[in-house]
Amino acid sequence: MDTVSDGANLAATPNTYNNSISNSSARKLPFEFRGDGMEYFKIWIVNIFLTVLTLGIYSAWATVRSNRYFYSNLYLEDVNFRYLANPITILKGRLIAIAALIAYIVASSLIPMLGIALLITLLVAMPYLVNQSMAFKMRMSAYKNIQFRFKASYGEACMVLFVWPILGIITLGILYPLAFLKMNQYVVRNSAYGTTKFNFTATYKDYGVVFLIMLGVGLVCSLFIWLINTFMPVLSPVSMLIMVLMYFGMIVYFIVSMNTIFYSHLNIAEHSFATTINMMDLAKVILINIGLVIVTFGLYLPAAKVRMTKYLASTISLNAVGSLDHFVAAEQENISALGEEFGNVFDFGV
Amino acid sequence: MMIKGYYLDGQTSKRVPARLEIVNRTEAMLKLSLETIGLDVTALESIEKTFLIALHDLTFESRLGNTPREIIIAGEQLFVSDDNDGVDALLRAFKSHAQITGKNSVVQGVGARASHSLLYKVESNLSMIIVAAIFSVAMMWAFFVFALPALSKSLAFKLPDTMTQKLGSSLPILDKTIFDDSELSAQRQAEIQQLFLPYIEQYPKLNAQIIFRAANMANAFSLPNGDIVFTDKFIELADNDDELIAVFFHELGHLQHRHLTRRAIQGSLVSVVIFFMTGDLDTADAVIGLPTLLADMAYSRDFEREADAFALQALQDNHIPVQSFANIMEKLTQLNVKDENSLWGLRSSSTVVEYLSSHPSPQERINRVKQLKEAH
Repeated sequence: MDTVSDGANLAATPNTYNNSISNSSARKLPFEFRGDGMEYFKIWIVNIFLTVLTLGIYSAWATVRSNRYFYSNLYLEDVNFRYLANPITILKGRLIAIAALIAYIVASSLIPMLGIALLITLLVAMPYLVNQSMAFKMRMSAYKNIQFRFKASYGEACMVLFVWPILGIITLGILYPLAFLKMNQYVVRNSAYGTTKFNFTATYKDYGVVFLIMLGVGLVCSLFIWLINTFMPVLSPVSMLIMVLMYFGMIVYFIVSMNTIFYSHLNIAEHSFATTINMMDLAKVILINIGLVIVTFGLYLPAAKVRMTKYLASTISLNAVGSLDHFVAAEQENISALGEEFGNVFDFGV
Repeated sequence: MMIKGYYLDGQTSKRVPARLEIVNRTEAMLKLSLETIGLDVTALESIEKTFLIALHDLTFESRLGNTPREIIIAGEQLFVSDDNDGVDALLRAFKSHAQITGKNSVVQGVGARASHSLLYKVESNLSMIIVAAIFSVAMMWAFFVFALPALSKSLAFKLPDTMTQKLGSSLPILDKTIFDDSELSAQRQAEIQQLFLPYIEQYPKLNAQIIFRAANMANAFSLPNGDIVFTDKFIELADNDDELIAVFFHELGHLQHRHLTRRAIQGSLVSVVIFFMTGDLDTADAVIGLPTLLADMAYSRDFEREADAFALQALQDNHIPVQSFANIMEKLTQLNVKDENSLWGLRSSSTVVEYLSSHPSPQERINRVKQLKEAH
């Protein structure tokens, strides 16, 4: 948690960013995903096959191949992203995390008090592990041979993981949108592309409106269902239908709003992002995916992931002001996959 | 042999068109040519810069689907090309030349760098894909049908009682949500307790406790800590004590085999395994619930059959007619069919429904009683 030196380092970044003067008109650059469902299915099924054959050891290589496929097929201005992680790094992190999980299960079943002590240890370590996990994800992503990076303090992670969500609950949800805002600020403002930091300009109001609308729709639908069930019990199947539709609609609305708020307030230097994600298109993709996954007993899962990624990428664009050629790389740094793998095994993360 | 692509120096985000070609096979040297455009905008002619690079300074990323090939130069610079076949041919050229001249160091170097192209071959081979798909599906099936139930069974019996006690603490939640206090008279409750007492004493280790609750359904179920809950409607449904005992034995069967603990263990293991097999939870999130649910229901049906078998055996041991088990099942079915009719206005008896059900079909359970009676 050597934040002081990092803060100083990052504060110096605006100077290292080389402003382009030659061309100041904004260009809309779309993101594009060029992956193919069938092609990814082949990679995915071979991953599963080898993972089973090697009793899980290959899973680290599988993760890398799978991630490489998705990063390398994501293009901006005809240049693809890259996933850099080394399978050995991931395997080490994964083995330690699984060993810790087994130790926790065994310890807590033999001596319950020890289990509680370990749980508290994990809670204390969680902000650190989440920071590490974010740093690993960012460091292992590159565009134009310049890595992304992430640096956040233990305190910051503590606030977004525990303090803000708890405040949101204590205030009966009034401050819950703030917890979302703080979480996104934590993710974006601590991230950088090379030496250039990302910025996030969303406000409490942006998130508050979404929560209010969801609350309103939820109340109206509940009232409607209550009316049907009380006065027209014959129509109770209809009320079931309304409930399912409302549930699905809420999920889609939530994903769309969160994406819209995120990308329309995301900036890097003078470049900004935009998204055209909308409920109809997203609902269509989700329904087609779920339908085909069920019909194929899960074999469509990889193609479903490709379809979803393709759609999401197609909605996002970068409003580039001038050239994107002037970003500068930061110094190299080694980060273990421990945080990432702990997050996967113990089911936490951002 | 010349490969077209672009070059990124790893310092700035400026992309430069570039070419990579072999200069000298024996020395394992390559040439990288960059088409740098002069900083002066007025210079119309592009200036070409060339660099000589030794093969051992290059790291070739493994080939992966349609993605551009990445070649890392001296650990930080990058040459990217869409010409995957060209890069493979280049590697082969070095390899075959080195084999002919017997320069082993070069062969090993190239071999190590190109070893991952084996994966690409596997991934683009149709028959390999089919084999992998069949094998994976079969393994999954075998795992879920045989390995997982066996594993969770042995785990469930090794778990200390403190854990199972914790699992049983769901009754307060049920009390708050769907249960009310029983409306049965204290006398009737005492009668039933008295009725079960001798049988509870037959299985002292199970720590069985009879609990009465009011709810809008006829049901009986057990919790891992030994609580067996009867709803008032269920007590009303039974015509005689034998029927009550039959159901009590069924619930005792669940306790004896630790079904609830096993179900909890299996449920969590299913998601863990699906995560490890498919490698990501993000996509699976939306649909992971489905296979987990289907698996859970299949396991649940097996458990019901096991509990049924326990109940029938216990009835015979205590010289209670097994027909009472069939009778109470019959009544439950009729009641449930009535409920379903009023809700959906249709009767569901297809085999699909059977798969989607957490219990074996009542007909199957009643038939088993008949078979048992015929056998004796």
